[in-house]
Formats: sequence, C-alpha cells, structure tokens
Amino acid sequence: MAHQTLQRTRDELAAAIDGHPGLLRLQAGFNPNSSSVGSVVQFMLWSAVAATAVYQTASLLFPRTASAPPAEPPPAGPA
Amino acid sequence: MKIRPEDFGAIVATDDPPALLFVDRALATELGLPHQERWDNPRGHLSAPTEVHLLLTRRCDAGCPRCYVNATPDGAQQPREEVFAWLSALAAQGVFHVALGGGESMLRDDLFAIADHARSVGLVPNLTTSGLGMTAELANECRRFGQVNLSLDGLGETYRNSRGYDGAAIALHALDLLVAAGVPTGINFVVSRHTIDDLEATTAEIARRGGNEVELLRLKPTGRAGVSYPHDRLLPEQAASLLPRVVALIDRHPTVKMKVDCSFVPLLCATGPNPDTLAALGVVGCEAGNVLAAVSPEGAATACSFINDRLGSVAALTERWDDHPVLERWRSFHTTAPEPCASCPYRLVCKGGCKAVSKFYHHGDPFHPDPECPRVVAHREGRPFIPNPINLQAHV
Repeated sequence: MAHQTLQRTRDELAAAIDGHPGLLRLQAGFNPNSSSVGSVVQFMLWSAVAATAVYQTASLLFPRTASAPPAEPPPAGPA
Repeated sequence: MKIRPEDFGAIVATDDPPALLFVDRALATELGLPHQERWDNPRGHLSAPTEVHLLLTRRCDAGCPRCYVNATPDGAQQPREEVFAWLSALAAQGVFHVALGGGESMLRDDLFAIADHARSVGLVPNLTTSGLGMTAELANECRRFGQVNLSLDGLGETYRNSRGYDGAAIALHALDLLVAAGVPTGINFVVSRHTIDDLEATTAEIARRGGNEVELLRLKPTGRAGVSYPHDRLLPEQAASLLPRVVALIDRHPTVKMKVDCSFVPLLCATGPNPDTLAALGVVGCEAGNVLAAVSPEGAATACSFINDRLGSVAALTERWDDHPVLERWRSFHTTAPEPCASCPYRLVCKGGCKAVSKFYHHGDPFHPDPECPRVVAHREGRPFIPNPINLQAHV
C-alpha cells in the first residue's frame, strides 16, 4: 500500500505540527478541478515570511483545543 | 488520516479539515512513519499524483462553444467496471483525491456508484458539474463528494455569451439545492476577455447564497476553446487587473475562498510575492505529471487534463510512474527551460507557466515558457520586466 493510515486524532496531529519546523507546506481544500492545485490565494499572509505563513495557516486549520494532549515523544528509530 | 512517504518525508492527508500537509522526515518519523527506502534513494518526484482528474465522459448536452473536451451529446465514456479499475489502481498507487468531470458527469447513471467506489478504496471524490438537471434528491446524493463546483462564468448575458445557453439561473438553482443539502459547494469561473467584468457580481451572488469558494480558471486554448482563443484570451490590462480585484473580493466576502488555478501562477508571480511563501502555501504552477495527472474519457492517461499527450493506459500513472519518459519530460522542463524562465526567481514554483497555452502558440509543442506570462512578454519585447506589486497591507 502506498500510503498508511495514520493513527492520530486531529488534536494529536495539531499538537505534533504546532510550531514544528518540519511542516514544509500546507495545501488546504479539495479540488473539483484538477488544474487548481491548492492555490488558495492567501494574500493576507504574503507579507509574512514563508515559515510564519505556513504556521499561521496551520493554526487556523488545525486549532489546538484546550484538551489536546501534548505531542508524543518521537519513537525510537534507526540511529 | 493518511500518511504517504515521499523523498522529503511524507504527505499527511486529512479530510476534516480537508488538507495535505507536507512534512519533513523528522516530523514524519515523529508521527509514526518508519524509515523509508526512498529516503535513502530519492526519486526526484512524488510517489504518486496527489490528485487525478478523471474525465468520466465526453458526453454533454450543453454544447458550450468553448468546451475544452469537445463534448457532444453522444460523446464517449468507459463502462463503470473500467472506471472502478482506474480508481482502485490509483488508490493503490497512493493518490489522495480524484476530480470527476467531463463532459457532464451527472449524465452518467452510475456517477454515485463511482463516487462510492472511490470512497471505498480510500479516495476523496470531488465533482464539477454544470448543474443541469440538479434536483433536491440528487443534491442529497452529492453529499458523498468532498467538494462540488458548478461551472459559472458570470451571470445572465455574460453566461449566455460564454456558454452559448442561458444557464446561469440553472447553476445558481443547483447551488441553492446543494448548499441546502449541506454539500460544500463553490463555482469554477473561467476567466476570459468576456467574463472578467462579471467577477465581482458573481462572487457576491455566491457569497449571498452560501457558496464556499470561487475558483478562477484561466481560459485555455484546448478543444473548441482553441477556435476563438485569440479573441477570447485576457487582454494584458485585464490580466494585470485580475489579482487586485481578487484581493478586494477576499476583503469583501471573507466566507468565500478565492482560488486561482495553476495556469494563473505566472500572473501571481508578476506581483512579486516571496517565492518561498508561495511554495509553503501550496501554490504550484505547472505540476503536470507530478502533483497532477488525468485520464481521458477514452481511458488514456495524460499528464494534464488540457493536453492529449497520451501516455498510454492508466498503468502509465501506476506501473510506469517512476520511469515513463513523457512524464519525466513534464517534470524536468523547468530545469532546462530557456530565458526568461531560466533566471526567473519563481522558476521552482511556476515551472514555466501553462503548457496548454504554450502548445497553442508553438505548433503543438508544449515545452516552451508560457507566452502570456508578463515576464515572458517583456523578454520577447526586449524590455526589462518590472513586477507590479499589490498593496497587500491595505487589505490585511
């Protein structure tokens, strides 16, 4: 299978991406026409630098709730 | 939610809110993805398109004079079993979303079965329709789609002149039915010389009726639209006015998302935004054969729904995804593009602009800089290109 199911709740995902420097790009929305690849015109964010803009958008799309658990520590992986 | 390994890390797909998050390897690992073989051997392109445009039929009764697929009342389409096989193969490849269009897909009596099959294999189906024949019952059935957009290029006479029949009221009635049924619904607005001045009134109407987005599509010289394209394409002063108008509409109608399609990215870039910010917000230019691909009503895979490059069957997008020479040509154009693309700071975002437009002006060869890009026009005329920034602070 080319993709896997991610066993995370929305709040857990919000907690994991909140301020994480590894969030490279965020594309919002579904596209009924394939020529519109997420080019949501986020003019209000253009004055910000890229790293800020993507987190501003992420925080709008994935607001952390008061009960959101803290991000889990990274699993033990390959050295 | 799903996670799909990529060279850079992974893409996380969520349905609520609908989003794709591109994350690096560290964050992918933190989210639970084990180490991936392609992290050691990067391929240089995505592991699959994020979305594929399925033209479910070339059949349509509307007869629009600028139809990009030359749809007719007796146009071709494949049987449902064949479409089911496409969907299963694309899902196995890792595709997240499918855009169902035509022709008029609502004419297929198996459209909802096709959407259900897409859901059953893990794809999010989205739909474009004219709204012809929409009823309250059909609108309720459309709740299985992630998003439905109606084709609406203006109101009243403008629509009639663009589409050749008096269909604006039909589309708006369909919008009302879909919104009442709780279906996320917007419009696709094809921007041409003749429709652009209806943008404000049309967007206001969409906002008033509860639509959630206006997606601006640049007219492309494909299918019947190629016949009159030189007389229909945006005039330079209209093109320059588009984005300031969109910004004003964002201010005026905050409940309506204003989107532009990949072919408008050269115009976006001409306003001088930060290229990194564009990339971070998912703004991409020509991503045919990488982020995007399409399948024609005859079952032929193509890199872009506006170009008949006939890669072969759908297997080109699955079994041959990593090594198909035509796909590689699409993916690599920006790395060898001539001036002014070669020195353009937006090259990695824009990727040369719309190849459907390039193909029209270059005798069938799509691999040229977009001839309508303001930077390309300036280069051709031998004058320096000066960005035309929008005063964004006035709109924050």
